[in-house]
Amino acid sequence: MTALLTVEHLSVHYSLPAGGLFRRRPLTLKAVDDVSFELRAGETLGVVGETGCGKSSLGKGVLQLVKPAAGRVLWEGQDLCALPAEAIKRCRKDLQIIFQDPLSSLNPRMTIGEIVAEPLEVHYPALARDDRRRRVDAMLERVGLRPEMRNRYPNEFSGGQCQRISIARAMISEPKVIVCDEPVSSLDVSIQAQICNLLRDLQRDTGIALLFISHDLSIVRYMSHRVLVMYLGRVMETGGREEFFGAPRHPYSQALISAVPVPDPDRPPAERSLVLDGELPSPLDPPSGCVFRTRCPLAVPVCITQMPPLSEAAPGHGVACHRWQET
Amino acid sequence: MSARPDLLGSEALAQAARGDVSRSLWRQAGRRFRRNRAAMGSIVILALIALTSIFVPMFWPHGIEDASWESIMTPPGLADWHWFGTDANGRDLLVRTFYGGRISLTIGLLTTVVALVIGVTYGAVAGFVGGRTDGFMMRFVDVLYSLPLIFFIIILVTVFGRNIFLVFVAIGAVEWLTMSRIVRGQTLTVKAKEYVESAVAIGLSQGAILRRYIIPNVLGPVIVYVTLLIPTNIIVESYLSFLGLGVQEPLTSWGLLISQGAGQLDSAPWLIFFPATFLAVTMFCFNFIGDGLRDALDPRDR
Ligand code: SF4
Repeated sequence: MTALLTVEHLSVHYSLPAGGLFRRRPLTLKAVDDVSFELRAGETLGVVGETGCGKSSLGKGVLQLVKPAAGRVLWEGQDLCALPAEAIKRCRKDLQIIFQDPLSSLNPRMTIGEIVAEPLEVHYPALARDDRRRRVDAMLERVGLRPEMRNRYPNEFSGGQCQRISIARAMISEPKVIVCDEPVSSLDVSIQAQICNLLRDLQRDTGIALLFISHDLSIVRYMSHRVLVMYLGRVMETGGREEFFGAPRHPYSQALISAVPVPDPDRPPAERSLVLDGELPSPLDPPSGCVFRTRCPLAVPVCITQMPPLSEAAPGHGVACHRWQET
Repeated sequence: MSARPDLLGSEALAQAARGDVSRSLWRQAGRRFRRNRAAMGSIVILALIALTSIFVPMFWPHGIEDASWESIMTPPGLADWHWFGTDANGRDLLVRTFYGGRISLTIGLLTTVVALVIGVTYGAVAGFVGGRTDGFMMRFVDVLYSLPLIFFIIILVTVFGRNIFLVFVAIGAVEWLTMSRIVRGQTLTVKAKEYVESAVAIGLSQGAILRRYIIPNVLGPVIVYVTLLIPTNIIVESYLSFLGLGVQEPLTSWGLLISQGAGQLDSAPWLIFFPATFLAVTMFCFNFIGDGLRDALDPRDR
């Protein structure tokens, strides 16, 4: 299968201007640093990492909601980073996003019907009123809401229902890619499963590709076909779900996976249970060499001086570690 | 179709199904406001004051300039339709009070409209565009802020002469500054909300985002401020008139009546009593309405 969306060496920087007593020079926060991946039609790529590792910035950078500092996002033969604003707007029909906080991502002054219909108004202005209404109703029903609810306002709905509304708004223009930015992390556990299943059903029916961003490994495992692990803005490991969860190669991935509680009490815990100690370093001043070295149990002197490249441990399985052969 | 059973959502579904009217934030606010007795009472009283100010001078047997030698300084009473008494020229105070009410209320409303239009546009643009433009626009406001109102009005009056229209311009031109600051601050808050990002993400144009997302969400605090700005502007006009910079004879306003009455506090206290009472009641009413609106629009006590 060929790639639908190709991201090459993407970097997203936030600059904190100089000023005040304590900051003489402007600082640059490298939220995303040199990240590359491909997204294929119909697949889910799970992006995992701790809070502040730049995974949300990655999603927003891909969609040009924040302007990337460097790199390319190839979509239908064009580089989104180089397109003018008007051309990007046209692409938004196919590239959608679902946000983390379901209620605050819906305009409180618009009805559900208006919220869901809006992408149609923007991208299909010629659509007749009745037709638009029919599509909105069908979409609401598809995400598990009753069409009669179209005249209600977001504050009348629960978190899970609001997330269904967000999904309806993202899906109605029949996009090809949806970035799901922690779509379930603010919901109750029981609702999380419903929303995850809804996304999976929609993917099965429409062949949509998902960039599924989450800090929750078990949800990523449930949702994804492939996984990308980020730490301080950089890719640590990437690979297919089975290889990744079965035999993670990067010390950071191993630590993450061993920290997930084992659902089956009869199963023995992971042989080598790694615990992450130490604080997450400040992303404003990341460690030299390998960014993970301050917390890595396997760190050696070369890790301080040299940034490990993403080595191919197996076809489609990349690991950014000097000692990946030994892990 | 694979609508999964919505286990936890179903209760909310049923709840939503029971009420058949949709409850937008505005409607909910309206309901809360109607439950507020002080605010509703204030609206009734204000409406009465406004209606009498408009209609009574049309039918009253005395005109505002009808001086009469026989009835100089008549105390309030039922005789000869001088219910509120008369002034040193024998002019009927009741008709002058209501006439002054017309002018005071009009000035209060019009100056607020001027401040509203300039302030909302200016503040929304500054907050929405942001960056350097925002910095420049708000520094300009800061500079104007530092000019004292009275100083500004004295300049206007000396350059253009005294004129009621000038009073509108002067007050409106000063009061929009605060309005623009409020609107800018509010716009910055709203702009940071995720729903604005979601509007960008579906490809909505900047104009549409401003119209559909920013302005409706900024409106709440603006409405509250407007109800508090009207009485402020009436007071500003009053003290301008009191200082002799505002409305001029033969026109009159509550402020002017009060300033004329103040000179005869000992001999004819009714001259200050009636206009001052009307002014004070109007102030109270607007403030109650403002408080009521703030409570109704504030989502925190829901
Ligand atoms: S490169 Fe060195 S510090 Fe980084 S993960 Fe590998 S062993 Fe640890």
